[in-house]
Amino acid sequence: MKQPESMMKVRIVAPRSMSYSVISALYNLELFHVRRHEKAHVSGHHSEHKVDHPGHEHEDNHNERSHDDHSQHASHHSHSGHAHDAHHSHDDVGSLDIGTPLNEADAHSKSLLRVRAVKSILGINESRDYSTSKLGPRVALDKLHDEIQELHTSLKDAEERAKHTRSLYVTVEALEKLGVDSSLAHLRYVAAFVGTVKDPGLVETKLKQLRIHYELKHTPYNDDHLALIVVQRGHESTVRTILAESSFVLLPLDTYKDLTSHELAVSLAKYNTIIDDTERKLKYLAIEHKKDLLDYEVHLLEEIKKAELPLQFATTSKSVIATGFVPKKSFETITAALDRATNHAVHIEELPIDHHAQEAVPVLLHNSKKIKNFEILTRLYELPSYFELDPTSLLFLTFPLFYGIMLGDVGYGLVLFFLFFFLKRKVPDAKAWFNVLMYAAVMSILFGAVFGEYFGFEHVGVETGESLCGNLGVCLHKEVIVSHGESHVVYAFPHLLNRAHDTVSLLGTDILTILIVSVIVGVLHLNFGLALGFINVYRSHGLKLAILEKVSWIVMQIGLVLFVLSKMNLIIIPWFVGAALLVLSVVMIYMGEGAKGIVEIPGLFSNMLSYMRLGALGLASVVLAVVINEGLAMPLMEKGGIFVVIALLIMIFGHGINIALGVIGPFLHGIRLHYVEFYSKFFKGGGIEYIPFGKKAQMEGEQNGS
Amino acid sequence: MAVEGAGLIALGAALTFVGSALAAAWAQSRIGVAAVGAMAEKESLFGKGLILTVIPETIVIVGFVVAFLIVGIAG
Repeated sequence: MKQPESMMKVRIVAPRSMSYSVISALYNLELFHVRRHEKAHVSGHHSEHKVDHPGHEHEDNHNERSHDDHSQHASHHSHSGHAHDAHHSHDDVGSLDIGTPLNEADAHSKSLLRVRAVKSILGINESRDYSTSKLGPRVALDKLHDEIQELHTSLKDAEERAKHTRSLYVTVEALEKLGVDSSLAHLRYVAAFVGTVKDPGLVETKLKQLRIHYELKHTPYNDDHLALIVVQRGHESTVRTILAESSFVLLPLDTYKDLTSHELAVSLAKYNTIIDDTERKLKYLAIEHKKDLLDYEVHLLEEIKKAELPLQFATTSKSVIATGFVPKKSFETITAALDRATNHAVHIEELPIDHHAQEAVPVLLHNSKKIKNFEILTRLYELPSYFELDPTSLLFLTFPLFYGIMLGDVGYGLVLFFLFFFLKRKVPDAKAWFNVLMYAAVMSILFGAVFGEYFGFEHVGVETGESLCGNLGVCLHKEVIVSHGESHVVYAFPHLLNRAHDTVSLLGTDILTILIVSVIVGVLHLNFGLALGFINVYRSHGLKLAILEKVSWIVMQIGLVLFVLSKMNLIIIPWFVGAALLVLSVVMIYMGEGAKGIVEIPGLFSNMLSYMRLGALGLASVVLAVVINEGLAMPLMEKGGIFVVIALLIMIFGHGINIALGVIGPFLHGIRLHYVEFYSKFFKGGGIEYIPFGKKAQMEGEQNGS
Repeated sequence: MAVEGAGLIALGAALTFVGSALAAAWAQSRIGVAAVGAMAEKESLFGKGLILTVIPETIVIVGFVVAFLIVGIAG
């Protein structure tokens, strides 16, 4: 049972000229969680009074560096700040302006654009999360950019020309095939039409109907046909109409006047050579500079991130003021590093954390390696607030336990264990999930042994049992079970509790033992939650409220038990003792939580009964398994022959489904018992993640941004 | 243990359970839809959405208990 890592609220004051050194040092440390400075809206004279005040003071004092001095400083500020500030924070820098990005930001952004342009021309699609070279970027970006731009332009130009030439070539070649040349336009007795047409047959039919002399030649051209039609002069207008009806498009012959297909082919080849050459050059450049470009991109992203950090700072004309959080154990590291980076020109002070207002301190969970896997379950709901206990270790204790009680089958547990083991290898990203599920599978095996269940079999038949005992020396317990009025002799697997059949008599009613056990587990779990709640409330609000809010519920349970038992004459205590405790607890709840608490009284008992799902889900799983085995598979098995195969298929399929349900059901209900029933007794949540400024934060920022 | 009217008792218990289960399912479906919708807007609402979604399960638990009592007392 731990609390999140202890944090220290820290203020760093540095001269403006040192901004970059400070930011770089922070970036490399990856320890400082920056709290964004927000300019408070305070009234006129207020702000006037405050502007520059802290800045000056720190700049004057930055040489006095003893620790005592810091804390004095801190407390001094906190008092003056608290008295005036409308905000909850102790900051007296609230009225200061928000910082501006470093001058380099612009240049870096431009460079980044160039790097990305170059990357896109070179066809480099990937990007890196981190730089591979320690030496920094070694690429002469501007030169490379110009060179590549030039190549790119000439490539595009050559491509454009090649495209144009190719289309000319196709037309000229077709014209040559038809025998068209420039003399056609000037013939005296005949008129020539050259153009494209979809269906030359249609034109021909129409021309025939005119009963004039004509000549029609055509050749395939792109997707259509290029046609040459020669008719006697005098019929031009009629022919024109026909051609218009047949969607004949005249070709502007002048464009192709002095072109020959041979010349065009030569220049096309020339352009293609240029294209090939340029593409090869670009490819070489891509291979040569890829690593450097990727490194450079990362470097620029880092630098931009650094240059933009002052946006989260407060600033005066001469200094920048950064407020944020550091793990307590790393405070010395960060002070030393900043002193080194700025030659003792920074002032670092600790600010008090406001416990009363539950200040938003970032949360860093710290658990041992095994328990760390279960942090995914904690995060799935919400991070605990900084002032709360971290429930991860409790999830580690009880989540696999609940899962085990619900699934509780040696066979299923083994299958799942190996399945998760295999999946963990296959999907390393979800490693933590599979680790959690493997713990759960182990508990299923343990509880399977407790319940004596092996793939839904609770017992084996007489023959199997006797042969096991005779041949292998594994002697099972002989039992007689009665079903449908007939009694069978079976050999049962050893068990402490049979989930499907063991019952206890309660108030004259037979109730399945597993359900009673579940509710008992629930009562224990909830009261444990109340105890944790007591600790949480005691820490943040004091003993009185802790007793009123949390102990009251325990008193109520004791009162109820005493009342019921004494009424039933099971204990020799007058009934009004229990009744008095009940009344007392209700009064305490009202004082602690108000009317809302009274409304929630039935909720406590429905919470307890809710734990019956531990047994009920298990029962559903057992019954399904038994139906698969004894209802479907066994009768077929006894028929022998081909039916054995069918029976085996039914068993594999049926148990497969049951195992799939056995992953989903117990997981969801196990986690739900924690989130809903257990958490509501102590957990508030709402913590914000501790993301120190640095590489990791940048990567996450990039991912979120894209 | 052939109690007189055992079938009717079982039917009564079953009806109790069916009714409560349907009620819980109906309530949960509507809350669930809203919760998932809210999560699409803001992922951190998962916890609150889950709690609101499972609140109607109380109904089915009550039905379960009553069904048990019917079988226990009448049977």
